[in-house]
Amino acid sequence: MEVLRNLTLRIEPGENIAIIGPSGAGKTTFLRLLNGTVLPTSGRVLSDSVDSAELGPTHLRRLRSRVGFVHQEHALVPNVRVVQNVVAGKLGQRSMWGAVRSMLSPTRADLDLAHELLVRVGIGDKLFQRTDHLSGGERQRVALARALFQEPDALLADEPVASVDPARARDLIGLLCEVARERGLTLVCSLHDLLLAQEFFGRSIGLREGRVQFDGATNEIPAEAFDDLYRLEDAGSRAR
Amino acid sequence: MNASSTIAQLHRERPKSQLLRGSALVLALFALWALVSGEIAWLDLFCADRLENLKRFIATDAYPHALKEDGLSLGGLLGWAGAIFEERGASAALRTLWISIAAIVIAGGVAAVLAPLGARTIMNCDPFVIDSATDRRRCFLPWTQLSSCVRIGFILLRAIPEYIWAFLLLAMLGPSAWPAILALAIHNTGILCRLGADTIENLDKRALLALRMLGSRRLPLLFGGVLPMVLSRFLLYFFYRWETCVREATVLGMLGVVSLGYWIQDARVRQHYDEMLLFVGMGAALVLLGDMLSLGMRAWIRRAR
Amino acid sequence: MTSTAWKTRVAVPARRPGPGRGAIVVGLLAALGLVALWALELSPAGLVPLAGGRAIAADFFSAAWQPATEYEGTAGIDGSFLLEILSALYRTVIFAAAAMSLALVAGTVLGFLASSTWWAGDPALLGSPLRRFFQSWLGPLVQGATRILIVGQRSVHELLWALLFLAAFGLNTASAVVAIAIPFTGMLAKVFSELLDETDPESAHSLRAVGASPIKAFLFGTLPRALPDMSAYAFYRLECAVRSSAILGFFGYPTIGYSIRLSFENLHYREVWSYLWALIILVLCFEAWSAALRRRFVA
Repeated sequence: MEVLRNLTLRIEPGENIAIIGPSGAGKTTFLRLLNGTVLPTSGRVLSDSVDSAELGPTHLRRLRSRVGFVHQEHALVPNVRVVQNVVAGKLGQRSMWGAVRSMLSPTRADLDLAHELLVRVGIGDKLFQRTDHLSGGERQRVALARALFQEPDALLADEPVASVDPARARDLIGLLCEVARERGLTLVCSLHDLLLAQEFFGRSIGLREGRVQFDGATNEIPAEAFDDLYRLEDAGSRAR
Repeated sequence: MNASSTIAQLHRERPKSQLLRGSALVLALFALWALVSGEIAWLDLFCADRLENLKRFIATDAYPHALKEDGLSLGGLLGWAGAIFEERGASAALRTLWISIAAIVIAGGVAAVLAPLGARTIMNCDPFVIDSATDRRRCFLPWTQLSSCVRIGFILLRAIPEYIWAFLLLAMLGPSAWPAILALAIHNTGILCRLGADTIENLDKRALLALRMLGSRRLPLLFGGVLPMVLSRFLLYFFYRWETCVREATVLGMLGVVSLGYWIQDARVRQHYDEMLLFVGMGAALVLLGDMLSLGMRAWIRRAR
Repeated sequence: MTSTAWKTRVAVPARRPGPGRGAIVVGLLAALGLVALWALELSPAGLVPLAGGRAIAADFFSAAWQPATEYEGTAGIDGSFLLEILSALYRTVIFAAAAMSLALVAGTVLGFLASSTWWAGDPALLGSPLRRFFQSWLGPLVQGATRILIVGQRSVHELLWALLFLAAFGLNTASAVVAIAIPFTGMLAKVFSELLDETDPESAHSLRAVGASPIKAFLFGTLPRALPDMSAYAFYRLECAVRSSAILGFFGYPTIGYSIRLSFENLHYREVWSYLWALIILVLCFEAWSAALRRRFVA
């Protein structure tokens, strides 16, 4: 099955990009291509001019560990403490023994960093709470803290506000952009909400059935282009 | 306050369950104690006598007796096994199967009637309307206590192992298949009731609440709402328990009911260990057959759902 | 009245498992039960105790309400009966605990090896031929072999294992423990592997995205998520192990079954009931304990 086709684009360091499109447009696959959890069947993905398809397993995992991936909140392990979910961000950078140690009893440095990041995302006091005792929005913040714990060069976020109410969604996206800006991270975030994209993201890419519909500075994209995404969503669902 | 003291304080105030930690500790210590306390004679297993015994068992006892002269050959082995199977094994295996079926059908039937009595969502002043104002309304019956008693009854049924039930019943009813069937039925009724009651409690309350709000009374609610919703799951449990019934029915024969276990015990008493191994093998095959049948039925139910 | 008619109508189920299919299955099963009774040549008359049995039954069940607190027919026995009950119970639990601790270790390892999530590699990481070989040949091979081993362990009842060991080694407590441990290993492994495979793989996927190897993603993503269900099942198996170890007493091992058999054969029914009640109370305690733990896990 072909999910994405005819995709050519370039992402500069420090850019802030929103990926917009209806469900099934290939947003998630696109993000996974960027951090090497999915490899292209044809074509190439270059990160820092290295082709991810040519990397061996070890180097590919190293690439992944350098790209922070903010998952949806239900991808956290629900029945462990917040600190363990955050510290799990460095699993890719540790030996098996180091990983076991850090999950069972995190070091001072790990704890400090995890706490600092949780404070930054606004839930510092939840450090030792059980993850499933948190609200949806709080869990989403934990997911962001985990990605930041990786100390990444770039942040990818896969519909981080899919299960959060509109007011909190705005808060979260604002936080995400702010954190990315203050750390100089490239940010690519998939979204459903056009208004959020217009408010927070310099560049927007519209995806529909695996094709780029538009790509450019958000404020220069005509309103009809956004409307097209919606209209085409109907056509897409009818075709299915 | 600096960060590290904040972390230390958060760590002190973290929610922790004494019960969970205590249980883990008690279980771990007890397991350790069980292994090292000397109650279990581990070293005795490796002493010379035991090994000698084992050697004799493998070399002579377990060696098919009928083949002593001709030597071991596949044809001879199959012929010997086939003869015993035809003579005694087949009918015993069939009886084992029938015993397990009779037992599980009885258990399933009784459990279908009793299980709702243990479900706290039904055994309630106002079924499926929990935590509402009506909950505090004066009830005609002490529902909560009733369902607790029923639940304890379920545990009583399953607390005694089938084997002990069969042993006791055999002395009273005399040698027929009834003691084995009843023993299996009693134990499995307890388990099926418990599983059924849990299933009813875990049902999606919204659908039933909707019926309830439309004014459905308890019994129509049970037959019209609860029964169709739990039937397939209950059947899943039914076949899952049937599987264990086949296992147990094999063994219960050792008490004197003519199932596979009877011939196992018979061969053991006569010290014909070769035959005993053969019957154990037949039992395993039967259990395997039951497993596969049950698996097939459960897959079919899941698909039909 | 219209309102009554309405009530009956709303009680009709909105969803059925096929048109009446459930009813057909239930009817067939009931018929099968009758066929079974016919094939076994059983009649309800068999449920009425024989003349001798009736006396035994009456004596036995009337003893249920007055369990013994000391030995009946004390000739030649000294020592406290209550202490004897406790120590029989203690030995029963020790056997069960020893067997379960063996079965838990072996069952966890085999459960991992039999599960598909353990072997599910990372499709993007299949670079080298070695990994490809591992993924497409070694994995399925070990998994298949483990599953066959598990089936073999499960299909022979613990009592039969015990009898085999009894024949092979003679009466030895360790072999009784191993006899319980073998089928329990198989059952734990089977259920553990199913629980692991049914666990939402999302957690493990998210760990792969941070660069964790498939094994780490399994250990820190899938396993913790499945752990509550796995513990609950292991606890239930412990209760079953207690029952199995009790039965082993019937073959001469020093658990509570031995005492029950002895008392019953000496017609000391009140003693039998003391042992039975002790066993029941033990199981009730286990049940209360596991219910409390379940509440904790869910909350």
